[in-house]
Amino acid sequence: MITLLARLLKILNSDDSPPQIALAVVLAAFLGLTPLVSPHNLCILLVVCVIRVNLSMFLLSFALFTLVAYLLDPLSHLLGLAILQAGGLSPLWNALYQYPFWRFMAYNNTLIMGSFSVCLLISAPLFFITTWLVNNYREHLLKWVSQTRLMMWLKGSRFYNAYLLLKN
Amino acid sequence: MAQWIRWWGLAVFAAVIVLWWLCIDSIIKATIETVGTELMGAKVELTSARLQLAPSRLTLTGLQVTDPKAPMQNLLVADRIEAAVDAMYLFERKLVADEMSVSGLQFNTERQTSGAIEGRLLSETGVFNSDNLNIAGAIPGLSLPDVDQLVEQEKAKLSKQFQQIETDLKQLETKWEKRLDQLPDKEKITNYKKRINDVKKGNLFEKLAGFKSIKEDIDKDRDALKGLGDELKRDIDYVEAQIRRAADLPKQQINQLLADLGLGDNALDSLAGGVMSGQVKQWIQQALSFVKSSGDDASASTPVETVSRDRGIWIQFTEQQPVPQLLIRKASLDGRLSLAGQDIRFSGQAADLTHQPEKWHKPATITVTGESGQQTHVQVNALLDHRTQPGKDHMEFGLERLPLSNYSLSDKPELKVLATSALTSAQGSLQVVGDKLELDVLGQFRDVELAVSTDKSNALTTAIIDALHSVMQFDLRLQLNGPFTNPDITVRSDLDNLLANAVRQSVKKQTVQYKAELTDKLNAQMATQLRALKQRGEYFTGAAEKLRQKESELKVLTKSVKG
Repeated sequence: MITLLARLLKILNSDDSPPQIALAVVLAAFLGLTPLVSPHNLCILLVVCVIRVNLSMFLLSFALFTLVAYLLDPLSHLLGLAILQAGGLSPLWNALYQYPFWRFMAYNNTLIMGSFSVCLLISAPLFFITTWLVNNYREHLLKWVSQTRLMMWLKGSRFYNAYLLLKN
Repeated sequence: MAQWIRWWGLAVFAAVIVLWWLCIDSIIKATIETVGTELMGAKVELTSARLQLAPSRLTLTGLQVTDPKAPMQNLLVADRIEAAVDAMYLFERKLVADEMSVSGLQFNTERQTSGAIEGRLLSETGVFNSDNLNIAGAIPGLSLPDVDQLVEQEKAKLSKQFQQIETDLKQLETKWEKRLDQLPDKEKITNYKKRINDVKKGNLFEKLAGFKSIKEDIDKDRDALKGLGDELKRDIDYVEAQIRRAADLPKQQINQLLADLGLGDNALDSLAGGVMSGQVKQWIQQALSFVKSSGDDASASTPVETVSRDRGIWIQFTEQQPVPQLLIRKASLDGRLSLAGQDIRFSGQAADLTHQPEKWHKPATITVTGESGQQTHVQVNALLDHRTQPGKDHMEFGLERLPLSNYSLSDKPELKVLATSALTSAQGSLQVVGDKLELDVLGQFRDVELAVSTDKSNALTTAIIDALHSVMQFDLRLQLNGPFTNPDITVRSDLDNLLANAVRQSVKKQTVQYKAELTDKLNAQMATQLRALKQRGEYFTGAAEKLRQKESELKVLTKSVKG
């Protein structure tokens, strides 16, 4: 737990730009909230590898979103079912069903459709909120946090040593 | 822009893909084993799986499918399965094989290790379970149950029926007790007499009017009595019929029992079938379980999908050109089959095999021919049509010159029949529509040598053994008709007459003795209850007498009024 907190502080205090950290969180949401062995996650993995997002933040967020997915899956399934059975969308789904590519992408799976839709819905707010949070932390809290008694105490503790170890 | 791109990430991604591709064979192997095991309820194992991209080809070696009912036995084994798969359909999560070859196919082979999965083994009991086979039921008098035990069982059944009759009679009795209480009593008769005496004291006109009034009242009572008398007569007839029925019940029960024990009027009609029914039913059981399992696969409806973590439900939309998820357009088969100790090498063709027949426009067909070194020839042609419900399966099969050696036709202790040698041929057809089947097989046994013995020697078994010793050839016709789970079975043979003549006298004598003993003991057991019923019946005779007395009393009064 201490190492995890240290890792989070290290990311927040790093030189990585806030959008890079925020994008890592968004991509982790896609990978964590949707079923792992889904074709679209191959694309996510490619983006994570090629785009310079913060990998530590990505892995940390992925673990967090995977836990959230356990709670969210029943709702995602219901949402996916509703979308796939929506009368107005049935011509679209029927048309896609005729193409091997879309069948491969597993759009007709309720959980994949539902969780992917959830990710699409939250991706933009998640990106901007994370960017804003990182910016605000660095502008207002970073200096104050490092001067708090708690931080001073932490600096003399095993926790700070772990942080330094990671930083170096 | 450069600060957003991580070029070495491409290499990492490529490395992940290459690693995945290197593991794909193991992934396929593990998937087939896991899914197969889940479907079968017993271990499904593969030695290796190999996927080739150009041309797209899937090769499986060393497939072993455990028999869920016998974990030390494989249901089937295939040395090599090679399928030319349509790569485009793989993207749709479908396995469509334009051509497939299955070689080294074998059935019911021994396993070196158990293929059981904890808590998943199936066990089925049914009409064909060998525990249900009772040769004694087929050969009249060969092994009869203990009379005392039977009497005890039947006594309980009969007592119940006797009690029902008694309750019925008791209700009638209660009804008549109430009716008889309403009859004109002594007080009413005295009242009539008093009225008559009073009227006699009056003048002529008063007498005429008074007697007329009294006569009308008495006539009313007499009419009521007459109505009651008619009703009582009907009830007495009913009571007598019930008592007669009760007295007849033990006899009926005994006749039914004897028929169940094979001692009925048609006991000797199908003796050969009876002798071999045990073994024949085991053959049928094996054949039907095979046909049923293949039928189940073919007609499997869409499974009820449950939502589990990380899975979801696959929604199906209408396809312009529907193709099943698993389809084998054409397959060649070869392998070995062990039949009555004969190693038969077979080869054949199958086409349009799928587990979703409703999505394919052609029925599945299978043609197999096989031969052994000893000129045995086997041929099977099958057409499995499950495109619409109910599914229709039709199979024709033939077997020529199958030598039997030390083959058990019946292994019950009462009568063991062993074909030490015989040459067998059989032709037949099987039709399955929905859950109903029709099977007709004619088996011909030539150059027969039978070894017949018994552990319970008596006149009957000796007669059967003597008759069977002289048999050189015989035909056996087997017919099944009806629902899959419990079809009517008819086994007929030209041995029937031979055996019937041999055992007729013995069976008849034994039947008469057995019936007499059973009748005596059951009648003795039921005598008390029958006596009680008859006593209850006597109440109604008394009631009739009471009605007659009242009627005569009123008749006397009427005469005195007329006088």
